[in-house]
Amino acid sequence: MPNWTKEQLDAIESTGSNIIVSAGAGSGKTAVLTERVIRKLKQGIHIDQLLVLTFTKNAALEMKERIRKAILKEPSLKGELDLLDGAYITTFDSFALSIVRRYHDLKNLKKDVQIAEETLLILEKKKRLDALLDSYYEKEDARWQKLVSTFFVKDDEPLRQALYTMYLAIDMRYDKKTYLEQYVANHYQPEYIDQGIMSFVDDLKKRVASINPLLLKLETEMEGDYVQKLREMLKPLLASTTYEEIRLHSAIRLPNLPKNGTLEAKASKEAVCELVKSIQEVAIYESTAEMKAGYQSTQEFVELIIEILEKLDAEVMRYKQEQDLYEFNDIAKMAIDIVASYPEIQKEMRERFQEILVDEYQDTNDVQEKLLSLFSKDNIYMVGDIKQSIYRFRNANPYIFKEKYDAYAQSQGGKKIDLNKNFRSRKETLEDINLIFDILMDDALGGADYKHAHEMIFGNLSYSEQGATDVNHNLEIYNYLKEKGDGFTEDEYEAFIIVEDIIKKVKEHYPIYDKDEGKVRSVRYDDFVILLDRATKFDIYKKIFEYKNVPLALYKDENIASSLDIAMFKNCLRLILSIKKGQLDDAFRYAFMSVGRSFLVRYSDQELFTYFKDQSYEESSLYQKAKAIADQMDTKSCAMVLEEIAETFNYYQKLPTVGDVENRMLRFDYLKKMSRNLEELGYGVEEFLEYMETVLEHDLALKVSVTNDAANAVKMMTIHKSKGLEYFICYYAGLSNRFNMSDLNDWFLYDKTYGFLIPYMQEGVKPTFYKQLLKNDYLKEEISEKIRLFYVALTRCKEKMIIVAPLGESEEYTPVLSYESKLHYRSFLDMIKSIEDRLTPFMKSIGKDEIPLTKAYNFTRNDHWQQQIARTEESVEVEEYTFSPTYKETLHYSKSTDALFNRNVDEIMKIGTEMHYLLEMIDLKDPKLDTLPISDFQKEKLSNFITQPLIQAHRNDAMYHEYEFLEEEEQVRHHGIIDLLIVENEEVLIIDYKLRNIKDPAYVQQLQGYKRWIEKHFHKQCSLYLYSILDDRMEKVVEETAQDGNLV
Amino acid sequence: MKLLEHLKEKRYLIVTPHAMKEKILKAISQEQIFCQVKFMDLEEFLGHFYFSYDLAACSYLMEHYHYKLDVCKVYLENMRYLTKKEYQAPKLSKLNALKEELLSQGLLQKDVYFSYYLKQVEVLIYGYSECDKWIHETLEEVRKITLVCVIEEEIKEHSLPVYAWKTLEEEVDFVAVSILELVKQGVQLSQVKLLGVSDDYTDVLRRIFNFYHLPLAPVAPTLYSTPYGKKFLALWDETEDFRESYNQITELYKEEVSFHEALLPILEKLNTLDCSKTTKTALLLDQMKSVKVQGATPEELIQCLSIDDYLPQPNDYVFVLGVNQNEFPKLYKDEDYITDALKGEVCLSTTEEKNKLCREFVIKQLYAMEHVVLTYKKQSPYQIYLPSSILDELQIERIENGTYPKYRYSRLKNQLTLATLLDHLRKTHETDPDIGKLYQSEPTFSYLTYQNQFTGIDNQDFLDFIHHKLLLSYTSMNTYHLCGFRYYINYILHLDPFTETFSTFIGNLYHKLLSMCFLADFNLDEAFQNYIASRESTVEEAFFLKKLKNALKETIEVLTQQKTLTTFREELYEKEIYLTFEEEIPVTFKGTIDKILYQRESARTLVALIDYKTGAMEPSISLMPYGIGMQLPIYWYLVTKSHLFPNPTFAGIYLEKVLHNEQSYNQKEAIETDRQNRYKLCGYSTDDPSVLAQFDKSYENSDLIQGMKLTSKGFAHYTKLLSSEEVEAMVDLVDQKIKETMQEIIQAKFPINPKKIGKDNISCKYCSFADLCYHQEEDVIFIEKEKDLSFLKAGEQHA
Repeated sequence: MPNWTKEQLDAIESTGSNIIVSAGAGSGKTAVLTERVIRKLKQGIHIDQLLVLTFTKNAALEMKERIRKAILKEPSLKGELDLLDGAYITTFDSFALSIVRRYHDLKNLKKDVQIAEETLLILEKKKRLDALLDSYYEKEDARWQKLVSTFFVKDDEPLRQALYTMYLAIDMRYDKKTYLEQYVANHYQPEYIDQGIMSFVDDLKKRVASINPLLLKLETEMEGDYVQKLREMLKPLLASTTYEEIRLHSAIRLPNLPKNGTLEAKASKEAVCELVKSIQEVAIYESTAEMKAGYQSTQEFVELIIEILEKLDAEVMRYKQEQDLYEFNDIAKMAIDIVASYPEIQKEMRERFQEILVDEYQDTNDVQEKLLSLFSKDNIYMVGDIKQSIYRFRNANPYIFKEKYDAYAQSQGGKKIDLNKNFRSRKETLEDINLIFDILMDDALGGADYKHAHEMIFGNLSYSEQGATDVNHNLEIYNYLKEKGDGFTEDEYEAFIIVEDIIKKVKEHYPIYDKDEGKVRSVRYDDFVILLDRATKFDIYKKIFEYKNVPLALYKDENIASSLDIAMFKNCLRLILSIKKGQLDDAFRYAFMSVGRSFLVRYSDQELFTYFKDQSYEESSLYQKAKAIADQMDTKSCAMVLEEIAETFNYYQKLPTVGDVENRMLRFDYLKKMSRNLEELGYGVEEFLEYMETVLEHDLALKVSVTNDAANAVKMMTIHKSKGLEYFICYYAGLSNRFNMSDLNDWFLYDKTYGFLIPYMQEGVKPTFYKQLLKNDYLKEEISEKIRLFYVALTRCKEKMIIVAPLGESEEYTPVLSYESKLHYRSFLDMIKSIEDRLTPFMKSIGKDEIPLTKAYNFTRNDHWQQQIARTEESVEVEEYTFSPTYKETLHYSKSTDALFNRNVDEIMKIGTEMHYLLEMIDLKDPKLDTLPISDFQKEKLSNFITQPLIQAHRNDAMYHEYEFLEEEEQVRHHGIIDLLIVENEEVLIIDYKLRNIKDPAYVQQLQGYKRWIEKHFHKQCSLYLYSILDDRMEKVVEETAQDGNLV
Repeated sequence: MKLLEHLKEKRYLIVTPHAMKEKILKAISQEQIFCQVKFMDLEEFLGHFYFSYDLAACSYLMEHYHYKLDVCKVYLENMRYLTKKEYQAPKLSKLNALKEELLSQGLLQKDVYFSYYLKQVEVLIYGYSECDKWIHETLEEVRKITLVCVIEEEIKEHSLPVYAWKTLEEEVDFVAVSILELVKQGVQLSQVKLLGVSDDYTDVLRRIFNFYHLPLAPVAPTLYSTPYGKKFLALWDETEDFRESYNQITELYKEEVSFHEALLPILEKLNTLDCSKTTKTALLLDQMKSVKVQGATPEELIQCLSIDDYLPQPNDYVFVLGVNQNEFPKLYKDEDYITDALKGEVCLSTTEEKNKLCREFVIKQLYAMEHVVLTYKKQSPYQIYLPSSILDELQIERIENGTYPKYRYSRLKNQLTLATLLDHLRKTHETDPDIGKLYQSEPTFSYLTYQNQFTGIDNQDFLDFIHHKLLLSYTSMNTYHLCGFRYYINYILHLDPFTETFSTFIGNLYHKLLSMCFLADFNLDEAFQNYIASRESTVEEAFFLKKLKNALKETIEVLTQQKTLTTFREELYEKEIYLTFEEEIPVTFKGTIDKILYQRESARTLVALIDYKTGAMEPSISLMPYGIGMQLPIYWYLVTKSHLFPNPTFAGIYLEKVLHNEQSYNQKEAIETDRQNRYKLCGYSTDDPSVLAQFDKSYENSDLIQGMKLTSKGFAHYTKLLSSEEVEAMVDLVDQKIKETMQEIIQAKFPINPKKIGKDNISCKYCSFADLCYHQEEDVIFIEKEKDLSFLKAGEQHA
């Protein structure tokens, strides 16, 4: 039993209301969650009465396993194991899918509803949008023409892109339909506009009001009449009360600061300038009347955009319904619809789930929250950490967490519990993190009042006991100065600094405390992780680490669409298809060149040139092989054709010639898998090829999340990927990368709060005031998210964190950490710089001479591998087996048909089938026909058969109906069913029923086959009979006329 | 076989899985016994006992209620459970009503003779253990009619070896080698069975078994996934007649008998239906997706089966793969149409009971296998896995990363393993202990022998191919210097899949009309109309063309306005200049200069060159030493070498952007000023103020040239100027580069040598031939921009 802290116990035991647990990094939340589940079970709640929602599949798998192990330790809970398999310990997506599958019929959906390939839907959506917009051109829609011609000269591509992005954003709303329907009424009513203008002007007033405190500060920071001069100049602005006044009085140029000003004074003056500039930048409207008119003028465009989005949505949904392919977002919305629309389902779910436990609650989105709200009953247990909310780009809404946290803190609607004790990291690490985020993160930016409510408390005492070492555990900032124009990038600098540091630490046996082993040990490669905020630079690190012989495992999604071996297979398919169609055109020639130059064929350029020069492609072995595949492809699926290519061209045999064998095989497997998945949609070779070409043309990614084999390798991942993980020593690099805020530059935007933001034309394309409001919010949210991302990064380490950054020599430092100044963060480096004075003790300068920069890493093909192979006399004896296929055919004695009959024949055959069935069913010795629900016709026919002299004569013999046999010989398997077999002492009678015609020689052959089998196995004489049901006639087959039984 | 002991002189109905029937028949045949038996699998039996349905019932529901086919099937499958007249739950009640409706329509086929038949037979249930509650109930009902005997083979618990593997690949490799070890001991492949082969295994299994020549049943395509299937659907769509379509397809593909045989039964079922074409098509598609066409399959092959379908045989050697959590056994969730809450009412097993039954079934199955090996993996390329909890339940000891003779049976596999280990060695310099012996065993191993580099072509062949003459232009020369191979593909083999886009059409349109716009009789409307008539435009393009005409009008206005800023009065438009060089073969260098402005003086001609741009532009000449970005210098070179003008004197070389999108609001500038600024010339001007003053009257703070400004300290630092020495050096450099290029092309040198500046691969960025050159990092040449144009300074070495 672990020693739970008081807060942990509270989090485990509290009941009676919704509970939100703010669990800081490393605070043991998973253990707490598991323990809470176990306690619930002990209280008599069954595991299938709990709903446990996690953020990822792996988290769900691990959580279930933890619970299973905990149950196994409690003999009294053994019965729960049977329930555990069916219990809902799952991701939100799977849970929603489960609801939809259970009630699929209510939405007229396939039960086995499928999640579509992301790329496929991207293409379909774009295709439909293009078609839709083309139709607006076709019908010369005046509204569309006006929209396009107002803003664009030579193409509408930015608008198309904007509409697509808007569609994706709108699609995330669970109330999409009503939202769009009511949009114009809501967003263009005068009150709404006035309210918006008021907010806009209030914002300007706030900026104006922020000037005065700065002036007061400036007064304390410098002497002389400069401040007075400044104040005089700003006086009208400071006295402004209306928008028009603010606009008028902000159009000023402030005097330069006297040269003797202090740094602080300079910073304060800069801040004043920034404020005035920010006012100038947004106060671009003549008057509030212009603001209003400008906004109103966008209504006609918005109406049209809504119309387009509605139509697009209908088109996309039609496609999804036809193909039974959906996105998780659709599934979640359908689940909401089902639960909301059917009270009995809502009731059933409400009654079933005694508690809903949600892990990583800070990453919940509106749709998920809505679904939970439909069947919860003050019984949601939410665990998360607002400080680690980093998935806004995936629509996570951290305010869901924040609002509840703040309300529950006031005991409104639930209970709040904080778990701030950290068991992951060393004391020094925690102190340093607290130092940084006390300054960087607050309620306004970051969404958490770090200093007062979220500081982490050191909790793992084993570090100071068994884990004590004599190295410096504090944060270190490796500060280097990037020399301009030396041809190296910052990434190269940083990669070399890090790799050298790792080599040094490993070589010097840097000590770390391994909690699992309970002792201090030397650091290994796999104890290190390097975190960057994006994966685009990973390859540079990979090469530099390879160059320095340090194993590095990258954790990132692979885009197989960009790999050349996939392009090679695509061109193979193109080549085959061109040959199939007899089109030796440009596309063929291109594919010929591609495959011909590839490692698959390895033609020399001279050979290829000759084929091109003489146009003698058909003489090439490549053509011949491709043709052989083409000739057989009509009865093959695309995956089969791909396998055929591999086989024909000895793909696997040739792989060593290009290396990177494992990844190539993986990609080829993926390609085949993808083609199989698309088979369901009717994609054969041609369609698959077209799909691949479109994917490449649109530069779309086919992402594969590859689990990396990382035995004793340094790990490298994005901060997002690192969430929830922990490492001994963490490097943070790439801090100077600029945050991407380019969305704001788009003319056409959609925002959840402000709706559609469309500009209007006045002396150029002018944004509405709502766009200006959005800008404020956007910056706030983006910067908040980045601060949280930085927090996630810094809280991964157990032993030591090392930041690598080009801070350079300490320049003039301007520590202005106001809300506004933080809004100017455009990189993590800006964040670090803004608190540089506090970080001085952690700085370690790295001189350029300490960084072994070289471009040689680009050419590390390691051609010395042969020398590195340990020579041995030992060799491998290979004993290959080959298996020659032997084919056995199953043949049937009965006559087969190879034509589709017309409906009359079908009817007659039906009569025959039914009579056969009746003859099989009845007891010929005691038929009791009167008890059977049969027609007079059937009764007559059955009687006539039973009263046949032959049947009557054998009444006392053994009779076997529909006697089935199977015999195997070398090449064939014989299968037959004898309608009636009568066995007497010396002889066996074989009777076969026919509807009418018994003259067909094929029937005789059929009976001969039966006879042969019977005689062979039972060593009895056989007589053969054919019986015509409609003619009531039994005929013995005359032996002389019968030929050997042939099989068909 | 325990079942045979039950067979006496009676009639029997044996309810057994389809796969078992064959085995029973063989056993009966071997024992040479006459017995009266009829076989049904459980589904058939239930169909006879309750009711069965066919496509007519589906089509009825689809047409009357607009249900999807899949929903219809779920309804029909669940109706069977409803044996009472009334149900409390609305869901069951609704389903029951539907069932009654179908019964009344005769769409549910009740076998009215079946109970009569049952009375004559004894029912033997064989091969179905762990039946659920509802089956038990059903059997109780059958017992009211006749004798029912459930026969189960006796099972003895025995040890179950479990191998844990780190990866799915290793797991499969172990199984493959283990099979060959068995073969070595005389086991037939047909005795080997693989269970638990989920979709995740498909490709890896096929691949690795192929390395060992182990035959697996070939993948059978569905009718739907093949061109055959597509063709049939197209025929049906066209003819709306199944017979006709069938006749046509059989005629078209005479040889594909197995496909016809698979298709015919589907059509027989559909042919008699009275429903709409849409419904028929939906049913047809569904059937074609579900029917797999298995061609002739070898006798001796390894079968992959699901554990549900597998009937343990004493001589079988079974490998159960993927004994992982959530996969083995399969786990049910409360997702049935009749949910747990309602199951009590219809006597169905709940999810918990189903999972329990499933576990018990799996355990029984495992113990029923005499020779069985279990394996599981910890990770696949895409996810991590945990071992199945059934292993804990059975307290089976796991063998972690067991040893097996992994190099014994396949050279190809060994080669690929060796290559993989070498890949690892190259990247990390870590050697695997097995590398040595593997390498020793492969003396002819061709690792990394593929070279993507251009391997050369015969010079004479090449010259023949280009008919012993060469035409060069700025663009082709630029391409050559970006990458020699790219030039070869583009300009020699002409493999560029280039098609004229609307954007290039607009570019040409602008160039053409701007070359004419100052002619005396120029009529924009007419000229515009004539030009666009040469191309068929889409409605969208036509719309933009209207807009563009106005934009062009504006451009012409601005250009006219610009004329007032210069004293250069003479002009040439779209001036084509040809220079010929007598190398090994004649070479013509062609350039078309959009605009030449000049001013004749007594001893010299002042000349400025302008190239119009409708897209992105890069006026810098800093990459000249590499032969890249030389458009303006080349044009100047052509002017000087062609003797177009007597003693041409450099005034400037410029790009001018003539097509602009709408501009964002600029609060600092009036829109008119903003517009003028956007048309300013970008490029290099002479540093001679006297010439400059003539070319640009406003040069002190230019309205014509971007960045041209004279301050009290001279020209602004950002003003781009060239001295006459620099211009001369520029001409020399162009001359040198042109000659080098001609020589290299004539010698058929087309190396794959893309250029990279820092992170920016300027050669490959817009090149679509990556799948022809297969370039690697080693092919890249790093170059640097020389911003200060030091290469034009006296004494500087040209690159």
